[in-house]
Amino acid sequence: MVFGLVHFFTGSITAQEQTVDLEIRAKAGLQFSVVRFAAKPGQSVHLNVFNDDEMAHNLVFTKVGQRVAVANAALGLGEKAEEKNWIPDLDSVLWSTPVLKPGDNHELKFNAPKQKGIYPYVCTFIGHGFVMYGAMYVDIPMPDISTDQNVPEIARTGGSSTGSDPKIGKGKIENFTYTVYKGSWNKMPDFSKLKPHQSGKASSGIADPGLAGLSENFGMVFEGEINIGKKGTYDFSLGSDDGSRLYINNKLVVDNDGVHSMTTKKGKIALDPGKAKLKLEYFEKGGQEELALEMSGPGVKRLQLAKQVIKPKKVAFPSGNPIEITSEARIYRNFIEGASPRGIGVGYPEKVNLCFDANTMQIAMLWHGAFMDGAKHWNGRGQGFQRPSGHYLMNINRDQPFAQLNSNDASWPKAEGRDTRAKHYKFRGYFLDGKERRPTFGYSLGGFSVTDYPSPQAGSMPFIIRNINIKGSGRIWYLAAAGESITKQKDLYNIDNSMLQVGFSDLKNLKPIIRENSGRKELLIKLNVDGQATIKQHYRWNVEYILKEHTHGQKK
Amino acid sequence: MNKKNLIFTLFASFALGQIMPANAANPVESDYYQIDRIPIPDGVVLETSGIEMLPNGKLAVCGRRGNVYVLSNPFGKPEDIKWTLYAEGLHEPLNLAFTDGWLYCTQRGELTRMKDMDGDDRADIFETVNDGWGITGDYHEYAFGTRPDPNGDMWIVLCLTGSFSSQIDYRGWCLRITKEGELIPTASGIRSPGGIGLNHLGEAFYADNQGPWNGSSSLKHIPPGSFQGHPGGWKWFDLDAVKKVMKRPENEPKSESRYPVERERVKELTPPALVFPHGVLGNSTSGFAYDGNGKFGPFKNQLLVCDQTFSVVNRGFLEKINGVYQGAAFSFLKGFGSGNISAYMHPSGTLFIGGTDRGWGARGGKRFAIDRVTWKNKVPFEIHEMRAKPDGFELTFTHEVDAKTASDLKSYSMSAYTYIYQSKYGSPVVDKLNPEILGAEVTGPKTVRVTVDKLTKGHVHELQAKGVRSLDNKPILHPIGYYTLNEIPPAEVN
Repeated sequence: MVFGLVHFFTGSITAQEQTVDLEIRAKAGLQFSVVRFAAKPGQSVHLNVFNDDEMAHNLVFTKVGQRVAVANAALGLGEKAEEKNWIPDLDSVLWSTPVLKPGDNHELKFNAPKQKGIYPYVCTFIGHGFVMYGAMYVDIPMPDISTDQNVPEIARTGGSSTGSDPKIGKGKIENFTYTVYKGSWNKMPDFSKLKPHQSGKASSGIADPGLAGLSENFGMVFEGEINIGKKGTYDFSLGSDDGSRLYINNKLVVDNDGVHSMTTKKGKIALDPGKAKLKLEYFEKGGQEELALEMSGPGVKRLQLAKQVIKPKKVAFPSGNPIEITSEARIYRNFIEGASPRGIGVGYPEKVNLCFDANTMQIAMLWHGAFMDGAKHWNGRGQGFQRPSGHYLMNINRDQPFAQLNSNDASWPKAEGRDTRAKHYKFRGYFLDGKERRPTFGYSLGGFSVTDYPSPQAGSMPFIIRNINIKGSGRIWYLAAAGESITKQKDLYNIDNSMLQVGFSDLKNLKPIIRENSGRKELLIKLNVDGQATIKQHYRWNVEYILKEHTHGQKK
Repeated sequence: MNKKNLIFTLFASFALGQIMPANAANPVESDYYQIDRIPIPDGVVLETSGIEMLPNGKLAVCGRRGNVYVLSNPFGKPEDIKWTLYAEGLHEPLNLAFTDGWLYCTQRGELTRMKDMDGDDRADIFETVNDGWGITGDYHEYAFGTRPDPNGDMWIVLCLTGSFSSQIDYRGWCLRITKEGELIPTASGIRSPGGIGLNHLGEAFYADNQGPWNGSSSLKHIPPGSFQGHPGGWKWFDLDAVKKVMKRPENEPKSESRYPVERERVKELTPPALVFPHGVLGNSTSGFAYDGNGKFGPFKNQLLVCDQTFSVVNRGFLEKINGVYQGAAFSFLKGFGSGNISAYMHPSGTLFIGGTDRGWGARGGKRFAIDRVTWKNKVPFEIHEMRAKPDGFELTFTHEVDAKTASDLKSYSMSAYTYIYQSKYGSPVVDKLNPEILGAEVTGPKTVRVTVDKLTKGHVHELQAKGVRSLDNKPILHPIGYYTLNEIPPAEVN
């Protein structure tokens, strides 16, 4: 994962420049590649905004302090949102790009405001404004990024899962050159005898295997100098996948040779003040690639000299057949990752989607934004399960919604495996209703018959109200949610440490209870059905949780 | 014709002993049948997998992407046909059938029926008729279905989970779904179906594809309780629902054997009724249709069977010998747009063929297509029927034959061969024989009785009749019959 701050450091702007010339890329996981930049009052700004993501984005500059207001106003545009590019008619909007489809780009040119201030920019495309933003500093010094409240959480922390340890400072290799060699080796080759594939200089000062532009069967030699302040013994920690070797002043300090997964080795050397020559050799045969070099010594706690690249194994994600939602709900029945083989995807114009699982009659997933991409199933033989497009994906416990329990502490029938079908249930199909052609699902269980109508709710964070009507007579339990933890927060229940919040409306005399059973918490409603009963369950996204925790979208 | 040409023609006829036709232009398929490609609108991807006529005179077509379109004026000029989206989001539907006011389709996981309730030409109710079989998510897990049989039941064949095994209930089985939506386990032994349908008597046949226990692709009759050759799904004999209606065969088939041998041991084993020799008549047998009214030429009630890879339609004549279906396959029509999967014959004698090459490739060249075939009211000279006899075959032609060529032994040749019945994938052609033609007796204006020295049970008997001419001296349009001889008829009592 490449984080915005990397680009920030490499692309920082100096005040002497006539024009702020910058590239900002919308990236997977609702992020801008650049989360802040500086401009002088009135300075000409030239931004090239690219959309590298699989969903649409825009970029809107607002007046000082108006980011959230503008993002929320965009969500209030309703049906007009598309034609207005999700940009509300507000004086607080300064400059904006249109909605950029995946792969599109747009040049944005303006002069920075004359008045100093921190001017936010934000993607106002549905629901993105909570996490996808940045700031232009006009004549105001930038604070340390880790304390900058004008950039998203992910940029402050450098990412929660794979980001760098804040205790590590960034070092700099000076007069830094790199040379790339192509080849497949099991041991470090003698690079001096090989013909370079390419070479270059890097101003970043960080040894980065990504500079090779190759993913396997290559080697690199990084050369440069490091500044040594105090005389003493310095420790070097070199981690790599595959092999690496570190020379300081032509002496081999760390030998981490061979084809292996990420392995860290250490070495030390006494150095005098002044410049020390550094040579770092690295090769990558196949699979993941990683390289990490840290140095510590007198007056130097930990300095990072090589960038750790964790290249996720390539997951083939076919795209190219997005199922686009305009004015009607659309259905995609297929093998959907996260549901049983009887998943029924429903995408709603309200930009909220769900997957109903006809093996257990339960909503298996809910997500925002883009609906589904048919490419996996519509090309070749179509093997495999397609994960939902979009973002803010919530996987929901798929256990059957109703059960007749023999006692209050009888355990709930569980959907143990993906193929499990809820016993004694019959799926009846669905009908499409109204102008929006939203489905109502039907199923039966013994003498009970159920209609299940998820009703999408537009808004700043679209959500679903699931309208369940059960006909029959007798006592039956409804499972609203299950998880490791269920905590009540005002009228809503937080399920696990996750985005999922559930609640109810029009409960009348029904009383949801939380019980502990079979090692989990269950949110249940006991029903005495006499003719019919209704349940209106809300499935909401916990905005607090998203602001706090949500960082990478669903790209893991 | 000038003198020089006349002399040349006479010379040629003389020299080649009338093996070559006298008229310069041999008849071709398009003299008799016209194939029109129906243009598919821009932006529409219809990997045609099911075709059905609606009572309003429109044609419903479905595709593997889960969409259903309705074509208005399907008999008009192809470019004038209008397409409207009727339904979408279905799970790889592989047939359509209209009955009792509902459009039925078999999705991967269920038999569904749909209807337009508010008159806007779009389905808005999708009822699950039955979903009593399992799916795990393997792409092989296809489900094909039929129109209702005379009893009102719809027959469904379910591909195995992959080529070899059945990982969830009823993979590798044929089921029937009654009018009331009840499931009846019907036959085991299915491998990888390419289509299923009913003949004019309402009996079910399905296409199975070359692979384990299937030396070549073929069309098989499905008697209830039968075993269709691949034991991969036998574990479901343990289900109570199966025990109620049928028994596990006493013996399992042995691999690396032959059909006649294993039929002796496994009495439920039903041999293929029509083998389409692999690589010769096709590669991947799929859907079929028949002309029940005789409005599509002379082949009333014969099966017109698609092949996906070859983008062709073959023709099958069937007869029942000793209670077992068997018969002869012939080439019929080539030149379809894509990989044929689905066939529908309208009662007026218009044949619709649709398909796609996705996943397997097809000669047609188009990613997906729907074609319309009409008969030009001219009868091609063809072997209309090829019946097994105790000592050979009886050929009935579509036109009166030229007695001289039809009775000439040199007009015919025969080879016979079979395939290994084995758990391994496919089979080479084995046990090749060259039966000697002993007689060719013209027994009627259109009938020839061919006798051979030996018939071999279980073998495909490939009869070439390239020398036979019609009374008006035309060669046979498709002069080779591939007869699957499961049973040799008993000697006739005169």
